[in-house]
Amino acid sequence: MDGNKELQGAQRDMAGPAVGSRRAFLGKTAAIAGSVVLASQITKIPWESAAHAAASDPSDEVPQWAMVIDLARCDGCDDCSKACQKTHFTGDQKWLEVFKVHDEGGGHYFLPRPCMQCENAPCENVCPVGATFTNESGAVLIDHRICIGCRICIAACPYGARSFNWGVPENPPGARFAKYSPEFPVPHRKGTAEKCMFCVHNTKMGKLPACATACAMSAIWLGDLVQDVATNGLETVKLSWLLSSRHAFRLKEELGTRPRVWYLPGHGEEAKTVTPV
Amino acid sequence: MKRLITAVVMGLVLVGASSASLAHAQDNSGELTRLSLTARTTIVSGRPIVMKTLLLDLEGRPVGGAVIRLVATTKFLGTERDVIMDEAVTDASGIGKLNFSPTRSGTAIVTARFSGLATYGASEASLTVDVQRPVVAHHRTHNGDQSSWANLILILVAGIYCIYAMALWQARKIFRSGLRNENLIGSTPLEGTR
Amino acid sequence: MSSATVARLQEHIEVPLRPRAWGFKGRLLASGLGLVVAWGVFAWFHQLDSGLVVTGLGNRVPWGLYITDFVFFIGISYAGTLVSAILRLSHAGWRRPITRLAEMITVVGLSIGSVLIVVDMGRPERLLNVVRFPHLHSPLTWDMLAISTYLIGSIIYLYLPLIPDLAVLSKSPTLGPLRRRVYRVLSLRWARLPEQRASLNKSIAILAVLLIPVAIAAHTVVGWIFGMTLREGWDSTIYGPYFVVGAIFSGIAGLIVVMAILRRVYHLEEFITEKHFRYLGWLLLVFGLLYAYFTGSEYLTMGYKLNMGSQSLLHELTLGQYAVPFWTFGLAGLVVPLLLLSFRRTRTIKWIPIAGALVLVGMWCKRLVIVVPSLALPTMPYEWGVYQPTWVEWSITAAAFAAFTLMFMVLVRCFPMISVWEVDEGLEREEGLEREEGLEREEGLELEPVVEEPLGSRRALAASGAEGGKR
Repeated sequence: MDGNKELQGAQRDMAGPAVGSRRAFLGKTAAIAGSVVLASQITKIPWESAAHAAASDPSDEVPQWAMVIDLARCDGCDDCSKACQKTHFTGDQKWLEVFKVHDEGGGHYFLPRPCMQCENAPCENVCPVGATFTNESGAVLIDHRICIGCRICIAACPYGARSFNWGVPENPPGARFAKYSPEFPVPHRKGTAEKCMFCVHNTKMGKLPACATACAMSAIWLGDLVQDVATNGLETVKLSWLLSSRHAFRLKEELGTRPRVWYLPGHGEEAKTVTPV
Repeated sequence: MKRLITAVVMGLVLVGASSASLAHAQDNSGELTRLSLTARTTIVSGRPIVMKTLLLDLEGRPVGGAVIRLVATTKFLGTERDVIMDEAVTDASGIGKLNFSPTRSGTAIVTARFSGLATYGASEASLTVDVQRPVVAHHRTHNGDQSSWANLILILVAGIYCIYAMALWQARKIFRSGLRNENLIGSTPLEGTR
Repeated sequence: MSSATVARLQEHIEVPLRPRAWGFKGRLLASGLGLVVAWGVFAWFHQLDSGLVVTGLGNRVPWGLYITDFVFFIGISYAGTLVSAILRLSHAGWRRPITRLAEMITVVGLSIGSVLIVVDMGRPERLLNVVRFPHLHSPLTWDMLAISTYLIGSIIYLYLPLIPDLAVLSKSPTLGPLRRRVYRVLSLRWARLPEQRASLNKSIAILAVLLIPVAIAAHTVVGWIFGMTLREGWDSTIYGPYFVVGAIFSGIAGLIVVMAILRRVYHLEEFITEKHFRYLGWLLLVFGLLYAYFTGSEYLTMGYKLNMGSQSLLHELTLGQYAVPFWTFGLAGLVVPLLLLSFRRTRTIKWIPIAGALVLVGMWCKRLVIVVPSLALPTMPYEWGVYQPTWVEWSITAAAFAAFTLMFMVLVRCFPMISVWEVDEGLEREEGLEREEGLEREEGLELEPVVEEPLGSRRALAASGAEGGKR
């Protein structure tokens, strides 16, 4: 019992340094808080620019790509899809898919579906590493050097426009030596997500996307929202006039993704009358 | 005789004029037509203006039901192209109305083209327009900026770790006071004593 | 403190709760589990080599068993926070014998869940890209932030109340010298000094308060991985809270099952009594009803409006491809356990763990039914996607469960599975109460309650479990 009392006295004496250590502790907390504020400023640095070119404000000259697909002319031949596969060495993967759509009352039409290059892209929003990004022309690209293969982008895309390299992708011999860039993602990498990119590697050099060139019906138009023009290789028209006079629509517009692909309604009726190129 | 008239008229090409211009087109297959194009030639606001076309045959009778296209030249994808701006069908009095909304400032040459219909031959008419203020370019929406609210997440998480540090600091105090206690007593303390 | 209590403290540690080496059966079980885990690791190496093509996943159904398992394990880890933190703050004394078990479940569950995420990635070597190039807009970034924060907090929260027990263990003569030295270092020279107890109580209280919102945030963002997309069936505003309720529900079930198993194996009947099962059974019932309410709300709202995708989805769920897991969840995982828990006859120490086990099976099926059908549902005019998991996915799933059990076995072997000092504290307070009541009767006076160091502020006569842990 006496030993206990002694211990208690000693313990009371030891209460003294507690005050000093509290001050030290407060100082440390302040330092931590200060570094937190500093860290929050550091996070304002667009880290994504370390990964790829930071998007800058477009001048009048920077085009904003759009695509118009004429369903009255599409005959479902799938040439566009095959041309895309060939150009980008995608093997069996389809970035552009042509669907056969059946109407409720009978009849059908064909619907080619590239990536919509949404202005409010769900795939870009959910990517945890920002590997999916929008370039200055509005095209949504993927940086395969950063993609971690989590596939939330595939889950998030309401158009099913994204594909994934599940195994080792087939890269033909020439592809292996290609210089990779998000604009022309060859060679393909295992475990990363891919999709149509509006052939920006072509358009920046003044050429049409592979699908538009391949379409025998000239049903695919590439347009520029800034200049308000669109061309399908044969004709060039004012984009807004084309859209309004043909009553163009976009897919799943109500979802708010603001896609850049418009469709001119039809059932392939003009496929027979348009002279193939 | 007709060829003579055509040759004479072809020589009259107006550039940078402020009035309407007329042109005749040579067409061997059908009856000749005359197309005229009238509009304001100085556009200030960049909003669409309406251009009026009148299609007449050589006798001056109006041609109705004809498709007239308005074409301007623009550079797109690296090449100069004829861009179809608008299309109209002439009514019974041969009048068609075409919209023109330029996207660039400067002078633009617009051409109305009639590509022929049944027995009527093609014809076209041009106009030079001075655009003084361009149409506002398509507003690009960029979604990728990290808005500042997102940085709040980082501040919150940092705060949580600060509180973890506070809890661990208490643990350190346990260690320190235990150490002091041992030094005082000079032996390892018994548990459960007070 | 009386020497009798000291002796009892020793007795508690020495006799039933001292971490013991595995017996023959334990070693057999550990080897078996180790084999399963090793097989799963082999399957993962195979996947790393050939790519995710070895799974049944595809462009139509990019997520499957791995994500189901991930959500499941993160889900059951809510046990710790609920029992340990919430019950601690509400001074429910009956929690004392089970807090450590609950905290262990949390730590092990979160760890396994985190590993499963890495297994699911197409390029796992790039995991640090989330730290190098964080995109704060993404629910997956929130998820990684929240779960890692929750895991670190849970580890600290497991460690802090362990300190007093480690101090006692380090004196135990039956353990080897190396082990005792490790315990001594970890116990931070704990000597039951008043200022040490004050520090400990303060730190535990800080964490208990902090971990509740952290846990809620962690489970909410797991729900938002799905809820922030536009997929039919996922595009719901209640997915955040829905997942929190689901996590609490499966967490309690997990705790009940673990409690039942360990109680039987380690003969903890003294400490974990019928009362614990009954109370947890009530909690399971309440949260089960709440979860049923949320689930019913989801499906009823979808089924009423029947927009294009929902019709097809609901058909496949109830009558089509996914009917088996759906009804396993609905009947075996929800209706049957809730019935078992509703009636006094089946709210016993025998039936409640059965109800808990059924809930766990049902909740795994529910997670499967959340993840896969909404992905298989066509977004464009094509057919329903097909998902057939391969041996790789099943092996890794089995390995995840085996690893959970194995980690638990290792933890229980290293640390006492019941928080002895807390149980003892509860006993002291009871004794103190009895003594004072006895004195009161003798002297007819009202005495001040015996002041023992509490956890945070306390009301001396609050509901401290009178039966829990007695003798």
